[in-house]
Amino acid sequence: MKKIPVMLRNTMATPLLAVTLLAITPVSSLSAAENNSPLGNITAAFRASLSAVSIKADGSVPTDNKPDFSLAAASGITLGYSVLSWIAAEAGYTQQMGSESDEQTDIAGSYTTELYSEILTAGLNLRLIKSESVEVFSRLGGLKYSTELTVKERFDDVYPDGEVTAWTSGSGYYLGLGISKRTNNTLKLSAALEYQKLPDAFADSSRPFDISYTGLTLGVGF
Amino acid sequence: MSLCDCDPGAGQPTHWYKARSLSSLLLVPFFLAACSETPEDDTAESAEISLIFEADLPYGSIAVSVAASGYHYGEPQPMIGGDVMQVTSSSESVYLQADAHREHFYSAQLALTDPDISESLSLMIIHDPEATRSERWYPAEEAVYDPGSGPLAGYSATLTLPEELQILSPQPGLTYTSRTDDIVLEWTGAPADSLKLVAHNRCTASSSNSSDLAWVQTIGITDDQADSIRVGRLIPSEGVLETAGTVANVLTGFLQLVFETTLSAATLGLYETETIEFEDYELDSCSMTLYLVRQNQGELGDGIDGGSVTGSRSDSVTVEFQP
Repeated sequence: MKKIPVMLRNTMATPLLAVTLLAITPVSSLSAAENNSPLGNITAAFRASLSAVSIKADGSVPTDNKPDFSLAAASGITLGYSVLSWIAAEAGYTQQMGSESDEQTDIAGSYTTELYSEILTAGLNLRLIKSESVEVFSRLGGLKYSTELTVKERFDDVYPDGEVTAWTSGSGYYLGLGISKRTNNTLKLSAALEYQKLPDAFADSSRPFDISYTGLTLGVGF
Repeated sequence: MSLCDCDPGAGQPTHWYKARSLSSLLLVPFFLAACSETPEDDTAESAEISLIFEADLPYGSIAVSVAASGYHYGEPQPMIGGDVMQVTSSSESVYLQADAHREHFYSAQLALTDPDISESLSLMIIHDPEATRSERWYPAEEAVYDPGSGPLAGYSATLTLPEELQILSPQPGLTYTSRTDDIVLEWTGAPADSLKLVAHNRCTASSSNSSDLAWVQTIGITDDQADSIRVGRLIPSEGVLETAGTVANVLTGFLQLVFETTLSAATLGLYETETIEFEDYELDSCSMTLYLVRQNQGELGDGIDGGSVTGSRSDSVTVEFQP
């Protein structure tokens, strides 16, 4: 796992954290109308996901040099505030664990690349269909990301292996469609297909690229 | 007009390569060679820095093939981690890529804007960690792990291609029926430092007791636009030959040049030789591809103790032997 969370080094996290805190602060004054959450209109969900990672690289990159990444596991938390019965504002934090590419080779040696992302989200949760215990919902919103790119190099035993890490950040968006079921008065289980777009990584470099996480998310909410 | 003394029939061949499969033969469209009874560079193995740099432009082609290899106290040095061999012509610059068939050997092709002019090529070994990673999918300048440069970085060599050569005789497809027949060679162009005849012979055997055979023979000749050679000298019926040993040593095209023209390649351990005896083969029908290779010796850069630099132009013709 990673050392120090990347986001904590990143000042861009401040506004989204503020949104999250604002959503939590007025808990005591919220009504519990139309919401079985023990927190009233506030909901909290712990989420875990498994995502495919894809890269949209510069068009000048030879096709053979484009990487295939392993699936990325992720965990996170989302806090929501029900504005109306069918819409909630939400903010969340997701940690996309390291996803490593297959080994590639060029005239400099053999190398793999690994992506690790921390993502703050702020957006809406729309309840599209709602029955007594089941909901179909859609999530969408903006995100701020901080991503570490780690390059691990091998040199055919001519030189010792080495690795180097670079860091980038930016803004993107996320989308999701899922279903949830309240199992009792306090617990809600959910499953969703989600897509996170992290565009323009290393935007000021010679070769910026976009990162996409597409996967299945399971959640336990209160 | 003379042939140098490296008659395989007398048991004193230069470099011979054999192959027993058609697939291997197809991998040998182009052999270039030197007549080299003695190593041209005995110092390569003990020299601190040695460099082999070869370039050849076949007649009618606009692309010159280049290949190079570097050595440190006789040990081949891989170009890795940011070290790279860069060859530059008047119009283009390319990085040499590792050859799939031979470790620590690097090759590429350069397109020439005007193949008719006398082109100079320079080889420079550089250490550029970013440039060697420039085709990666991520921005290499943001994440470069540099292990440092190797012992060859900073060394260079230059060469100039000689005047163009075109074979006028024999005509392609001409069939010889006797080992006593003379192959009359005629060609064009002004002489350079040396001229080599390289014969790539592929023979089939009619007897089930014998197997097919392919090999390469190299003969030095005087570059005065005409010469002749006995078929029997290229296709001996008896004698002992020193060969490159295995089918795997019959390399693809241009790289053969490096091994053939530079005996230092052998002294540096790029291949091992073995012996074949012609009495073991009943060679009934042969195809002979004859290459004439006009060579100019180039210059090793400062600080390089051994190796060779050769620029060449060549042409080829294929004839038959059916006794």
